[in-house]
Formats: sequence, structure tokens, C-alpha cells
Amino acid sequence: MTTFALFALLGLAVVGVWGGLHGHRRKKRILASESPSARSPVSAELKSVHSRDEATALSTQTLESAKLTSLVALPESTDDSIVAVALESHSTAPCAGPDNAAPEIAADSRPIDSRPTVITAAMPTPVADSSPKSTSALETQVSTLTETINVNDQPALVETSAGQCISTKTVDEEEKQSSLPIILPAESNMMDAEHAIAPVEYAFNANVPPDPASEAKESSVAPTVQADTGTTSPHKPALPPVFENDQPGVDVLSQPSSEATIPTKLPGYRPLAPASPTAPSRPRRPVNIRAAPNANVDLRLRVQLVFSRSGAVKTLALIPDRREGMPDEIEISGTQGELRLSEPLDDCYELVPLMDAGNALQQGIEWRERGKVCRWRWVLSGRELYVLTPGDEFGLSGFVSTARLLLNARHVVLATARLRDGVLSTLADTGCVISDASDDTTPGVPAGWLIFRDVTPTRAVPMRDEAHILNALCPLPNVEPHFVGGIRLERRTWLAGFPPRIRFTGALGDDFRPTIDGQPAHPATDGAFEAPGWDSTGVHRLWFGGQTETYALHTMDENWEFWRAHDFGTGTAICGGATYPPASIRQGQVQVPVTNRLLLGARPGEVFHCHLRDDVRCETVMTLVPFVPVWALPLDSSHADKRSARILLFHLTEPAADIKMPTGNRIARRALVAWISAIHEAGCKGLVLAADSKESKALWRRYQDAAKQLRRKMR
Amino acid sequence: MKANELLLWLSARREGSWQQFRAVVEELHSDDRETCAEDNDEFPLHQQLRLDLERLAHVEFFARDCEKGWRVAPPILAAHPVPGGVRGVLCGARSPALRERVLRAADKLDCETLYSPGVPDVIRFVATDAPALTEVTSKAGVQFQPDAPLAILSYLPPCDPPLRGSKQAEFPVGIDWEIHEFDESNLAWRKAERRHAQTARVGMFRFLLRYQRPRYFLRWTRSTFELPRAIALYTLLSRSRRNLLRYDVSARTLRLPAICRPPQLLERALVLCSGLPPVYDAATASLTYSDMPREIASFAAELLRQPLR
Repeated sequence: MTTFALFALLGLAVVGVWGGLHGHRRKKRILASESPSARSPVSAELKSVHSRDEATALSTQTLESAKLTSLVALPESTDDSIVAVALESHSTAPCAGPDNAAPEIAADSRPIDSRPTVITAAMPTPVADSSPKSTSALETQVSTLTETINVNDQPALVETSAGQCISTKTVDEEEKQSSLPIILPAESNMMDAEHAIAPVEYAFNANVPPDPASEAKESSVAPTVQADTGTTSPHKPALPPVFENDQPGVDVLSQPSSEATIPTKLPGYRPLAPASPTAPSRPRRPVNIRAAPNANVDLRLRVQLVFSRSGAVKTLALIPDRREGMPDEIEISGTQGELRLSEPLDDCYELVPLMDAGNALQQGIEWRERGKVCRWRWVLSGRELYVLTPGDEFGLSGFVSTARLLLNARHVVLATARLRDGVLSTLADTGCVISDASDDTTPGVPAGWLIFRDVTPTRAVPMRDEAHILNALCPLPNVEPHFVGGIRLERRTWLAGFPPRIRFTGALGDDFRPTIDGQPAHPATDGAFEAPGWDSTGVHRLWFGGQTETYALHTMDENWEFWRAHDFGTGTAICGGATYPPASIRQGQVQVPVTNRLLLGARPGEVFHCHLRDDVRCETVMTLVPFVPVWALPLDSSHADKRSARILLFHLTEPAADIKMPTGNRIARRALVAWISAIHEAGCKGLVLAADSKESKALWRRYQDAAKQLRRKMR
Repeated sequence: MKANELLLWLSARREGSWQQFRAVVEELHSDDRETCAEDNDEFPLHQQLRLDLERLAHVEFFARDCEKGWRVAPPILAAHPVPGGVRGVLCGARSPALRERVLRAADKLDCETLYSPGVPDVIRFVATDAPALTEVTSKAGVQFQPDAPLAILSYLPPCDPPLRGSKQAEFPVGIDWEIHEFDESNLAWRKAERRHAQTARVGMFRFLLRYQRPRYFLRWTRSTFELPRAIALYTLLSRSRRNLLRYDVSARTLRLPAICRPPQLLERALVLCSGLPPVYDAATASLTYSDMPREIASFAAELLRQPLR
């Protein structure tokens, strides 16, 4: 018994100790989930958001039906890059509304139990010069994220979708406290933001069956993306450099990092690393496939420079980028105050003249969408050197800023006076012959800046230190095609008969052998490449150096339609060179002299009295007549001046013979009487015909006879 | 040739925004590279092209169903009587195939293609009578508009003062606006004060803000109305009935001061008499419309509320 009691006490003690340990573990787990972990690849923010969601939205029931539908890389807004992961209860429900509403607005319109729960994870700060990661590294990163999401052991499908399902609310809150990210150029290739998001999509492809849109995107996706972020001075910072062709991306590949990885000083201008001439260039997007609008991404601000005939700078403007699906008008605020971007082109908004250009170019410009939700931001990085290329390829006049010099293409270089010697020597290395530069005494040149014209590099030169500003003047040997001129209907579609000229920049070399539709292409007299049938209607495939570009030539659809462009209340509309009566009225337009306003048709009873405009005195009137008029008589022939009054003949049409006398129809009978009386009175008065020909006289006599016979019948 | 390409582009795209129009003007003239594509720095090229395309009845701008941009009009042979027959001017949308068809259909007629700077090629035919032109249009698949100038004038309202019940306007607020008043006696703009504009009994005022379209206001019996420039101007000038319009019977031309350019649709009617835009004479700062029948000139003068001398 004693022994039994002893064992019972011992058992209770063991249970108590086990229970205490278990409770301690449980507490520890809770504490761990609430405290930031420096070693965890996912920062505290995700966890805090997650715990918030745990407390509110992510009930077990919700999570069971929840699917992770989107993972979007947000390249902006905080010191860290952000990846937003949206959990949505129905995978088919779009996160953004069809009216382009912000995701949370779209979500709010749905029932509570179906609203997407958004988890925002602060990704580690990417290392500025980290090397591109492999796909496996990317997968590792993503799997870590997936684990974090699945902390409740709930199944989650992961799917990426550019431009959707972004926790804008969370991002906005963070943005208020954050400074601008420092975005450095990708080391390998320049690409669009759509591309920048694509690797994430790739990483999840194993989990998600690709939708058609993502399939389309895949063909244009670059293998690696890298962009760096950092911090800037809180006091009106000079914006970091952003490459013109670069859209800021998110380094989802970088290793976990903390504050130690944040650069302490602004990096310099860092153009792309020189690529091997034999290396294939970036894969191009297919024709006419554009990504959905990607909210919370940086958009480019390019610089446009137009010269006047006198050589002065006529226009110095900013070109704000626009993506498909963005609104026609956006209210923005930024470095230059509050503006409204409107009247969009295919890929940019209306040009905005650049004020205080000298400072703005050096300090940089940032615009943000105004309103509760900031979905878009435009950035022009401040720097001391801009390379501008002819804008004709972009459909713009003058010159438009670009990332760097291209071989064998004409450029303009805009640089601060401080860089004068460096620019001249670097350009000399590239084979440019620059006599002099225009300084700020030239009208329109920004104060403290110089403009170098006719910069045409002919040889590639190695770059200097990676961060050197003058690297933008070191052209790469990469071969790039350019479709210039023609009548362009869409991005890669031209009007048949007006094809573009196909030119190449880069180190072409002697063995450069492009083909068009499999036919060898040869340079024409103007240097553009042509091949047999290159300008025929249809889609053409241009192949060069292992890359392919397509372009199309279409004929015009001639199905133009009339519309009521100008209608001043008369019922007749004006469109182009024609006038159109109301659609319901089948009448013909007739020009009638004001002296002969009584119109008669060939059928007895066809009488029309033209009304004059009371607001205008005129000699002739245009009127709509419900029949084909044959004669025009004075309104009251019996009182007309027979010396001046005339009978006008419109058409040589015989009078209708098969006339049935109207019975019981007063209106028809009255019209018949009016027709007979008009002819009778004109005859009695002895009015003469305006066209005094035998034919017309004979015809008039036959009308008189017809009227006489009808008159007798009516008696 | 640029204007021809522009018309082809417009015909292919059918309609678009004002900014798209500006962009394509830039694109088609971008091979001028460093040289500014505009002949006159005071008047932008895209505005010049827009007005010419509108006058020649190729494209409608800011009209109904294209309030924020443009839309190409369907192709039409706009006819009008000339000494010795009837002349048709091809206006509206154009495609290379359409042009070819029209020229082929009219090979028996007196056909001429005129090259005028800044406007698409003017294609016009002269026939002895209207049915001959109708046959051409039916073969080529375009519409026919007899007496086009008169038809357009017949449905235009005159330049009369706004009615009492018309919607009144207010001057734009802000110190950045530059204000000018139209001087009736000198036919010129002169600077004006906002206070004067607000208190004037009668007058026409222009409000300018950099990079924005000018706005025109008519002060009429102490009320303010925002009107199109030409309407406001001729309403103001209707008080004095100056001898602005001069008709030369022998030359069949109508001349008027360039600053008094008539309203857009009325000018379209005048231009369709010849198919050519008016000739600007820098010495006299006047515009001359050619091949103008007297009755059309009289009708236009009536609508402008001006005597024809």
C-alpha cells in the first residue's frame, strides 16, 4: 500500500513536472512567435501581421478553405524589399476589382468570410553587389516563406500574379515611415518590372498550374533579376540612380540580412557589366502581350530633350511611364508639387515640362499617386550624367534618356560642367569626335550643365569601377535591333506598305548574318536590313545572333462609319464633309432657291413647301424633301412677278400616269388639289422655264395636261 | 508627305485621344531629329495639322463621341458646282487601296492631285454633272455629298449673342492667368486687368495659362459666357459690323483678316469650295479662300453677322 502510494505520488510528480515543462514550452513558442528573430529569414513584420491575422481572420475554418493565391514582389516602399502574400478564400476571386480598385477596396466589397487575408513579409535587405542567384536559391527562399505561411499547418496553394493582391494598406503605412529605396541596376540584363516579378512566379510553378497569362509571360521572362535597396538621407535626399531601361526589381534571392547590409552611403552610377558579345541577349516579350498593371511598383520618368532650329533647347520634359490598365488620369504629388497626369499614350502619360531642370536632374524626382492608396510611384534618379537617344523608336520627337550609349547610334549627352573633361575623354575612347559642348549660355540648357551633341560611339570600351558614373558612356557590344519609321499602328505592328526600317546597334562584326523569315537579310543603302519579302503583309520573324524578334504588317480595315459628330438641333448632323438627316427619315437633300420654294414631284399630290430659316437671309436653302422633286415654282405663282419669276426643272421625269383618285382621305385629296393648282396657276400666269430647252418645255406641257385631266376627274 | 502618312495612321486607328494624335505627329516628324519639326514656334505643328485635317473634313476633333480626342470621318466625295460642271473633293478617311480605287474609277474624269504643304494630298475631280461623280463614288465605294459647302452652312447656327437663359461662366481664379482683351477697332489682343474683365459690359477676354489651352470668355450685357474663340469673336464684332469680309467676284475669292478666322465648321464649308486650305498672306495678315461662289460667301457672311463687301 505504502509502496503503491509512493508510486502514485511519484506518478503525480512526473505528471506535474511534464505538465510544467509542456506549459513552459507552449509559452516559449508564443513568445518566440511574437519576438523578432534576427536569424529568421522572415522578419518580425510577417510574424506580427501573421499573429494579427491569427487573432482575427485566420480562424481554422477560414484557413481550411484559404488558398495562397498570390505572391508579389514589391520593389519599393520600405528599407526592405517586401513580398506580399495574399491568402484568399476563393482562388478564383480576383484580388483587385475589375474597375481597377485597390485590392483592399475590392476585397471589402466581398463578404467578410471570403475576403482575402493579406500577409506582408518584410524580406531581407539585398546586398548591393550580391551575385545573381540560381533558381534553386530562389526556391529555397520561397520555400522558407511558404513554411512561414503554413505555420498553422494549413495547406496553402501558392500562385504568383504580377500586379495583383498587394497589401497596399500595409505598404502605405510602411511607406510613411520609410525613405526611398536605393535601386541599383541589375548586373546582367535590363528588364521591365514585369520581368522582375517573373522569377518568383517561376519559383512557384511547381506548385501551381500556370494560367494562360503566366504562360505568356514565361516566354518573356529573364532567368535572373536583381536589384538592390538601401536607405537615403531623411532630409530631401538626392535620389539614387535608376537605369532608364531598368524597372526596380526585388532581390528575393539574397541571403537573410539585417541592418548591417544597408549601405551607409549612396552608391554611384552603376551601369551594366559588360556582357560577352556571344552571350545571348535578354529574351524579348512576345508581340502585343502586356502584363497587367502592377500596383506598388516604381515607374520610370524619362527625360525628353528637343532642340529648336536655332540649336537652343526647345523642350526639356519628363515622360511618365504608363502600364496597361492604369487609369487615364492620375493625381500625383511629388518633388514638383501636385500635378495631374492625363491623356495617356500607349505606354506613357502626357509629357510634363521640367521646371528648374538643373537642380531637378541632379537631385532626382519622385512622384506618387495622391489619395488614400498610393498605387504607383514614378522615379527619376538624380545624377550628373544623362545619355539620350533619338526618340523615334519610342514614338517621340527629339531625344529620350536611356541607360547607356549604344554602338553606332547617335546620342546626346547631358552632363554637369564638373564632368566635362571626363566625358570628353571617355567619348574619345569610344571613337566619338566631339568638338565642343553647349553650356548654359545656350538658351534652354539647364544651369551648370553641358550638352554634347552628335555622340556616335563606334567601338565598345571596357567599363571602369563598377559604380563609376562615366560607365554610362561605355557602350556594350550587344547587338540590338531597332525598328525605326514607317506607320506604326501598334507596338510591333505597322501598316502594310509602310514598314519600319530595321537597323542594328552594337558590335555587328563581319560574321553578322541576320535573317528575316529564314531569308538572309542584307543592308540597304541606308544601312537598314532587308530580305526578300520582308515588307509583305503578315507576321515576320527577324533572327539575329541567336535571338528572335517578330514584327507584323497589316492592311487597313476600311469599315469607317458615320456618326452624328455635330448636331445643332436641326435634326441633320454634320460629319466630315457630309450632312446626314435623322436616321428615321428617308428624305433627299435638295438645294432650292428662295424664290422657288414650292416643290412638285412626278406623282400628283407630291407637293413640298420649303421653309426658310428665320435667322439667316440667303439665296438658296438646303432642304430635305420626302420625294424626288421635278419642279420648283414660286410659292404663289399667281402673284409672282412674271418678268423675274421662273419655273425650275430638277429632273426630267415624266408625270405618273396611274393615278387613283383618293377617296375619303382628306389630306391626300388636299395635296392632290395643291399639286394641280400649282401647275395650273403657273401656267395661267405664263411663267417661263429657267432652262429654255425643247425637252423641258415639252415636259412642262405634259405636266400641265396631266393636271388638267385630274382637275376634270375631280369635278 | 508627312500629312499623308498621318491621315493613313488616323484612318487605320479610326479614333483616339488627343495625346495619341500629338504623339503620332511627333513620331512621324521625329526623323527631323534635332531640328524642331515645327515651322512656327508660336503655333505648334500638331495644332496646325489638327486644324487642317478638320478644315478639310478628314477628321473630327473634340466632337460628339470623340470629346477627348479625334475620330476619322468616313470617306466622302464632297461636290460643289463650279463653272463648267461639278467638282468633287475626296475627304475623310483614306487607305492606299481606297485611293487607288477612286483614282481608277475616275480615270475618265478630269482628275487632279494637289500637293499642299502641311495637308494630305488634295484629290479632286471635275465632271460635267453630278451623276458622273455619283458613278465614281459607287464604283469606289465612297459616299457622295452634293452641294457640300451649302449643305454644311445650312445646318450651322449664326454667331448670335447668347440667349438670356444660356449657361453663364466664371473667369478662372488664380494670379497666374494672363488676361487679354480683344480690341475691336485694331483687331488685336491687348493686356487687360482681371478687374476690368469682371466689370466690362461687353468684351471678349482670353485667359492664358502656360501649357494649357487658352480659354475665351464673352462679356455680354454684364454676363459672362465661355465660348469657342471664333463664336465669341464674331458675336463681339457683330455689334460694329465692320467690313471684314471681302469678296472678289472676278477671282471668286473671299478674304478676311487672319485673326478673325471663322468657326471651324463654317471654315470647313469655305475650304470645301476648293478643297484647299486658305492662303495666308503675311503682308496683310489675311486669309484668302479660293473658288468661292458668291452665294456661299454671302451665306457665310450672314452666319458671321458681317456684311460682305
